[in-house]
Amino acid sequence: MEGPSLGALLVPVAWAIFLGAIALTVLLGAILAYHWFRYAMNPPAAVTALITYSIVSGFLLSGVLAATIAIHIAY
Amino acid sequence: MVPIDIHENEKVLLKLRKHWIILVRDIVATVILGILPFILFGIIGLTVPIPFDLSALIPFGALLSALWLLAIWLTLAVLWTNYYLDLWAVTDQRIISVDQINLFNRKVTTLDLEKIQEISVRTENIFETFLHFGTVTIETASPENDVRMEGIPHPEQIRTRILEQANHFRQLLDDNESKKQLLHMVSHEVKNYLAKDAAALAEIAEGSFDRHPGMVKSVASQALSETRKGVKAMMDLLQGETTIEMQPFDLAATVRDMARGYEVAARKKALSFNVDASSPCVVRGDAEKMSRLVIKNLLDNALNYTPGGSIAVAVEKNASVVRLTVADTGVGLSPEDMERLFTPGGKGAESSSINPESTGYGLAIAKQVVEAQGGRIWAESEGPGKGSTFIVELPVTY
Repeated sequence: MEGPSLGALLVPVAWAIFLGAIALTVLLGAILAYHWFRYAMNPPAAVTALITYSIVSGFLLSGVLAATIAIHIAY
Repeated sequence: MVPIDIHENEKVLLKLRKHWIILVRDIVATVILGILPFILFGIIGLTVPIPFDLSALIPFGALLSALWLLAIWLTLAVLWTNYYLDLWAVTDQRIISVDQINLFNRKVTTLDLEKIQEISVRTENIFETFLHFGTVTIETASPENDVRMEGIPHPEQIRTRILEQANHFRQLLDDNESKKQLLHMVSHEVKNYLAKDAAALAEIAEGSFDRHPGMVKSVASQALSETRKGVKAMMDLLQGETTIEMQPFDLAATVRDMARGYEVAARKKALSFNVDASSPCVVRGDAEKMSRLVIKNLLDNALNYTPGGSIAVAVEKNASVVRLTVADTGVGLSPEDMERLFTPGGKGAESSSINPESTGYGLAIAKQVVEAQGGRIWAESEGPGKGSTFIVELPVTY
């Protein structure tokens, strides 16, 4: 009986990593946003921080997604 | 938003954060750490020949790279948050230090300005010297309460500003304390005079002067005049505007005059009241202030704190001083009572039960007046229940 190939294993691992990255980013974002909105001295700083965090995290996560899709297609 | 808990009547004077270079330093270090693997892999890829084809792993490498960059970004976000939430606020009353050590470790310390003993400033390397930032340590009496602020821009200026505010705050506290004392002392004096007025009014109410309207007028007018003079003398004394008019006067005669007003009250309490002040004893001082603020206080106290027995008042002269003694067989004094008796607000242990209206300022005032005339005042007692003796000595005048 032949076991699954390395490529076949990489695909679910890549998706798992992607989902883990999203979870981590969202969880950390929630924790940071809590701090910004609770402790920052001025509301605009908290809003700016949240927008910046969301945009950059979204951009980097889209990179992770692209790499995951590439793995999916390749294997 | 609740960054720091500022009281309603508190004003924030300064908000301080670490110097921006500290954030830049941390960001640069993280970015270098972030790109280091790419540089290393690039160098290895260019210099070391790889015996097998890696092209199949390129998508997975891309995934790891994207993940690495994401991790670096998240680290930067945490770094900035810790930097931004580290804060020191100097208010007109305290220093509030917020130390965001990490996301789940936040330390808020407050230090009242009056507790500041010294502030030290330290700049310890080339960056701190040329970029004008350093560590400010605020020292208190107990080192565990010291507040340390690292990376503060322009630390010398901050030190000066905080010290100025601390001094200003202390001054305000002192002023406040003086005002409190002033209020207590005035209330003490007003109470005394009102008691006298009340006695006069009681006489009127009882009808003692029914047939003598002139006497009613005279008693009322005298009582009011006494009150006015007494309160004015007190205000002057407390505001430092009082002048002790140093003129020779006969202390024995003054005591005799004052004591006469207490004979009736002593008789009503069935106290034996003896005055031995027959020989002239001339001193240099302010007769009016001695009467109003010293002798009156001593006689009032003797009368109030002697439930039965006797009060003996004596004035005698020896080689260098004239001594006034007011001895009673009253409640007496403990050593603890004697320690606080002449301090503002200091009262004997029995005071609250026997004389609830006592403010505890009478003897402090008396002490000020006696000392201003170059004399001294003290109390002696063999203990509670054994009576007490108050002694005033003034330099003798020949």
